[in-house]
Amino acid sequence: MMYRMKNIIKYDDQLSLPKCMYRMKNPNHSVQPDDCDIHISEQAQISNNKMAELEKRQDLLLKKLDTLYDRIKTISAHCKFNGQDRKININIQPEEIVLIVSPDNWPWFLKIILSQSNIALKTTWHIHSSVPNDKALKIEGFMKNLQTQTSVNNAVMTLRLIFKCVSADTELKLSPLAIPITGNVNVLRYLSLVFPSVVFYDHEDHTVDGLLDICHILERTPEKNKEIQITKLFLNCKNWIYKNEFTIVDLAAYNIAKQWKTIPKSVPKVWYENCNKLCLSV
Amino acid sequence: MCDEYEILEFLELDYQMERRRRLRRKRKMNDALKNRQLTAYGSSNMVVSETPVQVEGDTAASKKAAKKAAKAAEKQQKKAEHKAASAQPQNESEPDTSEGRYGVLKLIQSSGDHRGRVYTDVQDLGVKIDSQEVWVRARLQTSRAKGKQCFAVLRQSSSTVQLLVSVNEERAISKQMVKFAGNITKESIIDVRATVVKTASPVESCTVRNVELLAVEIWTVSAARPQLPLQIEDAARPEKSDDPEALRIRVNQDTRLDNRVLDLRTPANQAIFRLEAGVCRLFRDILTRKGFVEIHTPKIIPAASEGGANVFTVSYFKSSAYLAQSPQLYKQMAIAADFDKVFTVGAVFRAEDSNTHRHLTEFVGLDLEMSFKHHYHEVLDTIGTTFTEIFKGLRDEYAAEIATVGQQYRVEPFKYLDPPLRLEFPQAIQMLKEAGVTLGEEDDLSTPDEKLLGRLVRAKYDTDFYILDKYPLAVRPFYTMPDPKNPKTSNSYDMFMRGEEILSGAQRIHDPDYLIERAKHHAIDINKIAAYIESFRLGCPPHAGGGIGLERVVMLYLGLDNIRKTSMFPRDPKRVTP
Repeated sequence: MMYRMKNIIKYDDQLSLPKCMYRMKNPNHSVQPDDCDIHISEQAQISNNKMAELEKRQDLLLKKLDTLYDRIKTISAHCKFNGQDRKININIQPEEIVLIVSPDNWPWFLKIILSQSNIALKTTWHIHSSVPNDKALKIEGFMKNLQTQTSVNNAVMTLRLIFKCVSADTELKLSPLAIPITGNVNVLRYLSLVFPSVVFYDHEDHTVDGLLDICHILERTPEKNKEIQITKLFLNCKNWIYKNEFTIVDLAAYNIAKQWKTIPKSVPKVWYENCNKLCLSV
Repeated sequence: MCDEYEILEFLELDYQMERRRRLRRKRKMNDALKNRQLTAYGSSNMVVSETPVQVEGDTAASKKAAKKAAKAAEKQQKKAEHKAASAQPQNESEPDTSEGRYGVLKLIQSSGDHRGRVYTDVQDLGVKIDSQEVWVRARLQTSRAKGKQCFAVLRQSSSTVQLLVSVNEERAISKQMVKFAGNITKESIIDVRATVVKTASPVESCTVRNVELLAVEIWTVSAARPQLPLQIEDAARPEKSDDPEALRIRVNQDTRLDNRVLDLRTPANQAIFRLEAGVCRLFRDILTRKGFVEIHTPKIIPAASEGGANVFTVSYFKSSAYLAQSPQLYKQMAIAADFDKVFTVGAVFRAEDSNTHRHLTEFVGLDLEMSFKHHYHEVLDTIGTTFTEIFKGLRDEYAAEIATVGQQYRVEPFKYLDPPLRLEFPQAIQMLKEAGVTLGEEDDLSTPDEKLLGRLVRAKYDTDFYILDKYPLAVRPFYTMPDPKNPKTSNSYDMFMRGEEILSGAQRIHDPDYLIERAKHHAIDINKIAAYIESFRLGCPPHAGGGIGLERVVMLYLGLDNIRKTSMFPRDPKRVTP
């Protein structure tokens, strides 16, 4: 719209730029659209697309959840779980049980198990080379006291006792490749499942498990902390520790008490005498 | 900033210490090499290497080298002359105050001299006899003379004690005597009269630590030659050492066996063979207590005992005979001759071309055979308890020897159960199956199976010794009694130590007709075993037995890796000497 003027100076020749210098971009040519400009209309379109995708994904997930829920329903319908049948019968009958015991930690619980077991059980015992000669005589005396049956016709199970001086913890081994069960209380837990008719152990009763755990701690606790554990254990003891009947807890606690040189005063005398009558008289 | 400087200082210190350690190690190795060269090749030969080897086209250089060598030789000669000259006036001027109290003893030809002299054993030297004068006859293990003193170590079997020869006017010990002591060759047998002296600090390098001997008289009884084929120190060095600065020089097995006389002098070998003697003694004593009779069976036999393929043939006048593979036939004949319980200790010859760590062509067999009343387990229990009593005897009476062996060869203590563990073959198959190795009920165990089974038994029962009973009949010899309750099994057993078989035994068939039947079943020519069968036609009680190799039992008890370590003069397909 504006009027044109004649060129005052004509300079149409091309400027030859020196080649020795480095080139730079012409700053005027590289003008980019301002990023600060907010193009609201464009943004609105973009966010709409994302939202739509999210909604699609949500719908798909909800559908999947619905199908899963249906499947679980059908499976649980097939299971027909009856809340009344809570007891699961565990039938454990290994061919051979190897029990490694220390001559400083006699397994008194075996007396009642071996004498009252209704399974044809063959018992053998060995003295390990780590046991000195003086302790070997004591072991022979203990085994005579146990009155084990070494030759049993048609024995279903073999119990092999190995008296070893290396570690004080009792070990129960079923296989050379498996991890052994260690500790008298844990061994007793296993044996009570093998001989359910001798020692009753309700493995679903958490109170019993708690008391057995106290027994396990009591076995390992130093002298100064013993009283606390004994008090916890015999808290509700009348004739027996739990439910006023002889259970695995009484056997475990009695086994520990028999290892002590002197019975602490906090252990109820009545309970101890009851255990003695039951365990030693068989 | 402060911490960085500290770290730099610490690194610098660490670097300096490491540098010093390396220099010390290098010096030690050079000293050891020098010593070995001196003793192996003689000091005079050391000088030979000074003249360089001539190279073709290098005449100018060689002339120079020759001139140099000639100059060096001249220098050495002058030095030696000067030394002799300077020594002579010294020798002439200094009288020898120890004359008549040292030197080479006249050859002992039982002339009757010194019969009243009482010698003390090195192991009996101690603080109790402090200040007493004793006579000791021992070997000179090492000696180190420095100036007016000479320190030596005397050795008697596994015991060592330090000897000090020191110039002393009061006790009239001269320089010449000290020099004489320093020049006695290693491994010479010497007689020493010395005073037992309590040491200020324990002598760590000797077994007798609290006392040392102060020499009064030294006499060489039997000199060893200066160049020894191997050093006792090298042969006795522990196989694996924790000390990073320790020398790594070892003597290999062939060198040891070629120079067995020297090799046997090491403390570990002295202990091994004393322990082996203990096994033999305990075997004899235990069986004699149980009522066994020792017999001696012939080794030159007319026919092969078992199999026939692995026998040595000997020329016997105009015909041939064989060296006995086992004394089994004669043990059984002794049972038939009413000896009831017999054992024998003697050589066994097996011409097996097996070059393994556990086979020899000649070894010492400990065999026993026993009659029983009703069940072969009477014999099995006897053999088992014999073994546990041997192990107990070794544990209680030979603890020092076991410890001495343990100083050179790292071993794990041998574990066993009393009474011994007895498993049946099907149990073993089951254990192997659990571990991933499947075997048929009539398959024999291969060596790797046996080793794996040994490890499984160790893991479950914590024992290195066990008995495996009721082997399949198919894998046993024809004379093995079958199990009456199961036609596929037999009344036979093997015993294992650390996963390796040491004994194979069984109830033998004592009925001649049944024996013929079993021999036919195995396609054995009856004519070849006619004499064996005939011995049962004269009435024979039921019996069982087995045999073990003495060397293998000792090797496995100590946990050694090669049977040649437990055989004094081993014989194998490649070795017949010494």
